[in-house]
Amino acid sequence: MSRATPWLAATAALAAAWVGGRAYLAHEAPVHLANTGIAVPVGEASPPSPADRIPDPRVGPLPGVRIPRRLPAFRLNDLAGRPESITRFAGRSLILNFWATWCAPCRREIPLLQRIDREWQAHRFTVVGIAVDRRPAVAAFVRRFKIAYPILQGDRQALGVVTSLGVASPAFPFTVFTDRRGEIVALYLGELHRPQIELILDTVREVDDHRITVPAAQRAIAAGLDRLRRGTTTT
Amino acid sequence: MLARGAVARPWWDSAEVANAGDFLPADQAFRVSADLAGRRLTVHWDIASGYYLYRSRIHIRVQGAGRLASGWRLPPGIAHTDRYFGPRQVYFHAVDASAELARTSAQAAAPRLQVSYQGCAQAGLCYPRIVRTLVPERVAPSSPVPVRR
Repeated sequence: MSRATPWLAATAALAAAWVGGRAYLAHEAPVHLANTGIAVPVGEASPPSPADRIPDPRVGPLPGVRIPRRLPAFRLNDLAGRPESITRFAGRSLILNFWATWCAPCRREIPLLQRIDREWQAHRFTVVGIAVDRRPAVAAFVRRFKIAYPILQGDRQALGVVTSLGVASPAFPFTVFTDRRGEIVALYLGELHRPQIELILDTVREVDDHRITVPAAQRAIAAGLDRLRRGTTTT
Repeated sequence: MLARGAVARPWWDSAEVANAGDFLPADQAFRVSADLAGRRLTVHWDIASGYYLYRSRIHIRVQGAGRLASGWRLPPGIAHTDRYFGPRQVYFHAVDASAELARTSAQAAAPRLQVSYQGCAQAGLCYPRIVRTLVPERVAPSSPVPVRR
């Protein structure tokens, strides 16, 4: 099977998303009035917020980007500042974890992702962290927590990737699961726990083994998560 | 599943999102409004159950020609210790920030507030900084409470 074809096919989606990403960033522009009063930091001193922020829905509708069927082929920098293409991981099932250093649940789930990366390597799964954050903060965090899986990083560039996935207004963490062909099987919002991630990975593996289609996998994952939410384990 | 209001559906309300019903959009999780009673400016947040705002991430900027507000006050938050961030003060349910508005010139325009805040869901999701511009609703100043004899 050709590994390159799905990635090439995804470039159209990325191009469309680039347009959406620019529109998203336009919503970020701060409001400047002719006469501006003083800024009042009401709470305690806080670290600077990330460049990304939630656009105001009252400003106007966001572009109608939908979650693509395949993972767009994007490039982001690694922690040394070298451009890295996600196509480097073509042929593997990916666990793309989008996170930021200021996000507490993102930090909490990283030890689990470290273990999952080790445990699932034999099944050709790889965790890739996508830090939507500034490089110095990410590099310091990765050193401190000895993260062994690959980390790609970007501030506005990573926001472009987020938008290319149909994510109009990001909240973190979120994790994209793809099969070996680069098809998006699931997107999980919020902190992952072991039962949830294992359910999703087991299902992606069924897709990889051609025992189930992607739409069927999506239904199975949604149903399985619902059972976990209700605290039942029957199938 | 959490109830969804009349606000636009979140991006995650999609078949590909495995747990689409688990979280609210930011503007439903944190509903913000402002009012002006006399010279008293108040910014009010209604915080959905299971969500919280960081005290240290609340910032307010007064906009409008010749307008200043001083002495912004926030109540103490609830101590929230995060394993990685250490102790933080957070708000659950609701919080008000208030200040006195000063008219610094005779031509002072109606005030506008640029408010930024950041919060999370206890179930494990954090929203980036939210920035909203508000025009305070003018309300009648509250009457003094009559003293009972």
